[in-house]
This record gives sequence, structure tokens and C-alpha cells, in this order.
Amino acid sequence: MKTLLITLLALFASASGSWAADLPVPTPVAKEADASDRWKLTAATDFRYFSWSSDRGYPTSTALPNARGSGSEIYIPFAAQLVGRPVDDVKIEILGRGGWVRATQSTEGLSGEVRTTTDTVANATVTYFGFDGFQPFASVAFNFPTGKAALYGTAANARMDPDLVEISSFGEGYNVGPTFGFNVPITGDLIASASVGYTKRGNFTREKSLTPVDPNLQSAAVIDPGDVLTFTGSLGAQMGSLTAKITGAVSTETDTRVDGMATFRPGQRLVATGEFAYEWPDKWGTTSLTASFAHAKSNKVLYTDMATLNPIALDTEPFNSNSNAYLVNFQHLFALGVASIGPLATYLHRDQNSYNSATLQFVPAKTRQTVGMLAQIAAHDRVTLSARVERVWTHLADDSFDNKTSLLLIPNSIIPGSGVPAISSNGWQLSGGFNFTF
Amino acid sequence: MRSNYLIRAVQVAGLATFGLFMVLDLAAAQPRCLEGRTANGACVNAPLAGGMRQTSIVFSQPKISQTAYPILPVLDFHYRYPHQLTFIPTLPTPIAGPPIP
Repeated sequence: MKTLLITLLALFASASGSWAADLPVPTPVAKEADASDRWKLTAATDFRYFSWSSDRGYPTSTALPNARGSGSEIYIPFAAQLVGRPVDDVKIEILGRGGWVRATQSTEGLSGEVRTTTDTVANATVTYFGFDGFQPFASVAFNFPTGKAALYGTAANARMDPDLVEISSFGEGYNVGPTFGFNVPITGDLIASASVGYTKRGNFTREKSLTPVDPNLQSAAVIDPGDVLTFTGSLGAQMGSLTAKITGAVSTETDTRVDGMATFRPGQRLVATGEFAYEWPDKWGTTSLTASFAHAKSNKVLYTDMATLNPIALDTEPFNSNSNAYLVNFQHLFALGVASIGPLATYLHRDQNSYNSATLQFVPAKTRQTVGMLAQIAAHDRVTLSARVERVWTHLADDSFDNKTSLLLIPNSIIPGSGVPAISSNGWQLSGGFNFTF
Repeated sequence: MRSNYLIRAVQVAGLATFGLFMVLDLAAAQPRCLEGRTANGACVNAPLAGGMRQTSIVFSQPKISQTAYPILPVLDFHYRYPHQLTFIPTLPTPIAGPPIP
């Protein structure tokens, strides 16, 4: 019996040794969270205000020629994120996010307002760290239709230029998007990452104009947006004070259907982006620069019979209606104790598409510039405050050819008065919010 | 006689368990890494690896939602640029012709 007791004590001792080894082990390269920090909950919210005025209302093609446009938007997103490690080799990240928005366009002939909750998005990611040199992850994202997809009457006018307000669409269907990928650390500070994502987009009902003379005379249409398959690859490195990351993504999409009929398929889309950050010595802070480029091949569109105007089938459009997009974002944050503050600037250019300016399908070039300030304050161990203010300018190039020919919807018909002169807009974006970690 | 067998069995099980815990202890004694290890066992740069994973997920779901990506609001301005590069038609219904999807 004595021997049995000694054996049991030896078992207990070995187990205790293992528990002791689970305590945090400080190392110069990594810190492991102790048991109380295995799960972390973060709550966050923001208050955002956007206002704009313009030479014309939005959309510019249906706005009255001599009526200046204006509008505003209040958007309040809120989110909760749970990050944890149930065991050392597994990390789980779960995020849920909702919001509320009020959007108002105050343009003569295009006035309208919508107040609604936004769609709700969620995401869950599981990452496995048990393999040296290979960290796979699986993720699934959702969009739940808690917003308003169909806006009847003048409410449809509350959809404003997405270059001037953040929320320009107030709802869609139930979407689910699984992503599978992995990180391959070539060295501790040089990492390659690859992933593939598929987005299954659900049906939703949206309003549809019944007549060309009164856009407020509407009926419902069932939209079945195309599903999206995307391959992404990226390479990131930290070299002393410089962090660099380049990312490329290729997306293809299936047909979009309206009331059961295939009407549209976007061309294959390529996106490339580079992100760079440099941390200056002392309190000179951090400079960040992001440069991006996007290109899409020609869409497939619905052709109609020249004689009967009945739709025939989807086919590749004669010219590419997609513009290339070029984007540069810059910011610098100075370190001032618990606060960081500094300037930011962005520049976006979408070039004109491939159609002749004498056609209805022509889209002129557009630029968007912003200049502003950003501040972040670590008010407490668990509370971070942020504030941001930006002045925005956009300019849509001249498209004043006044009797355009339609190549697609109503083939070769002349649309009088369809030209739009150059349009300049400006606005403000204000944002303030906090993150609270429990 | 039977108690001897029982003691011997418990001793063997105890030694085996002790050995297993020793192996686990040795593994646990290595510094743990927040975002895993390289092939030669070095810790991975955790902020860089976490950021790479989030970027991969965001870019792999360009049309998961027209409202926002599933990220904390404070990151919206950082990740807004994929939306600016990915055109999602949101125009009001057109006058004449089928709705723009």
C-alpha cells in the first residue's frame, strides 16, 4: 500500500510540473497569454457624419441640370469581437457587427431619406499553430439581411455617391462566405499567405422603375446576385523599422439574375495593393502608405433583338465598361505620450472606360481626394479612443455629348439630353469612436 | 499476490505517465509563440502574421457585404480601400431598361 501511495504521489508531482510549465514564459520574441487572458472580448462603436454638396444631385444622369445637389449621412456601426485560445495551438476569432444609418439627399427633384438598421455581418476564424512553418486557417463570414434592400418612393433617392458617403446601399440578401488559407513563415519576419474564398450571395427584393417618365412608379424585382470565387496571395515582411506587405487577388463571378433572367456578369477582376509602414526613431511616429490598382475585364451583358427589343442572351460587351482604379493612401502619426496624432491624405483615380464618349455606356474619369487629421488615444489599459476628420473633393470629368447612342439596352437608339457636364463635389467626413476590451 | 500485480501495474502506468508528462514538459518549456513557428522553430512575427491572415480573409470575400467587412469599426478606414477598388453597383433603379444589378 505504501508503494501505491508513493506511485500516486509521483503521478501528482509530474502533473504539477506540467501545470507549472503552463505559466507564462517570458521570452524576447513572444509572450504567451496566461490562462486569464486566453479569451478577450472587445466592444467597439463609432459615430460618423458625412455631408456633401455638388454641382448636381446624385445620380448625375437623372438630376435636374441646374439644381445643385447636397446630402448628409449619419452612420453608427457597433461590433463585438471575441478572441481566444481554447488550447495553445488553436486560436478562435469571432466577430459580430451591426449598425444604424440615416441618409438624406436634399437635392431638388431627388430628395429622399432613409433611416434603417444596416445589414449585420459576422465572421468566425479558426487558426491552427501546431505545424512548424505552416499555419492553416478556416473562416466563414456572413451577411444577414437586417437592412432595407428595397427603397420605394423617394427613399430610393437616399442612395448617394459612395465616394461622398460611406453607406450607399442599405441592404441585400443573406450571404455566406467560407475562406480557406494558410500562412507560410519563410523566416520569423517574412511571411507568405494564400487563400481562396467563395461568396454565396442570396436573393433579395429590390424596387424597379416601371416607366421612364416617373421613377417613383415602381414594382418589386427579385435580384439574385452572382456568386464570387476569389484567390488571394500576399507576401509580408518586417525589415527593422520598415513593414511591407503586397497582396494580389483575382475574382470571377457568376451571372446576376433579375426576376429569373440572367442580365449581367462582371468580368474577371484583378486587385493589387502594397502597404508600407515605417516607424521613425524617438517620438517621430509612424508613416503609412498604401498604393492599390484594380482592373476588370469586359462584362457580359444582356443583348436584345434589334427588331423586337426582346432580350436574347448574355454576351461579352463590345468594349470594356469597367474603369481602372488607382488609389494612394498616406498617413503619419506622431507619438505624443498615450496619444498619436497626425495628418492623412488619400487620392483615388478611376480612368474613363473603353466606350466612345458618344455612347450611353461611356463613363468619364473621376478623381477623389481627401485631406484630414487622425488621432488615437490609449485612454486606459482597456480603452482606446479614435477621431478622424477629412475634407473630401471629387471631380467627374466632362461627359457632355448630348445625343448619345445606346449600344446595349435599346440598340442604336439616340437618347437626347443624355450628356452631363463636368461635375465637382466636396464634403466633410467626421468620425469618433472607441474600443473597450474586457 | 493480486495486490502485487496491482502495484506493479500502477507503477508501470505511473512511469509511463511520468514519461509522457516529462515529454510534454520539455515541449512546454520551449517559448510559446503567439502566431506559430517557422520551419526551423523560430517564433513568427505575431502582428505581421495576424495582419496577413486578416488581409487574406478580407480580400477573399470582396462582396460578402455592401455594408462593411466583418472587422472592428476602427479598421474600416484601413480596409475601405478594397471597397473603393471593387465596384458594387448601387445605383438607383434606372429609367428605362432592366434594373442595374
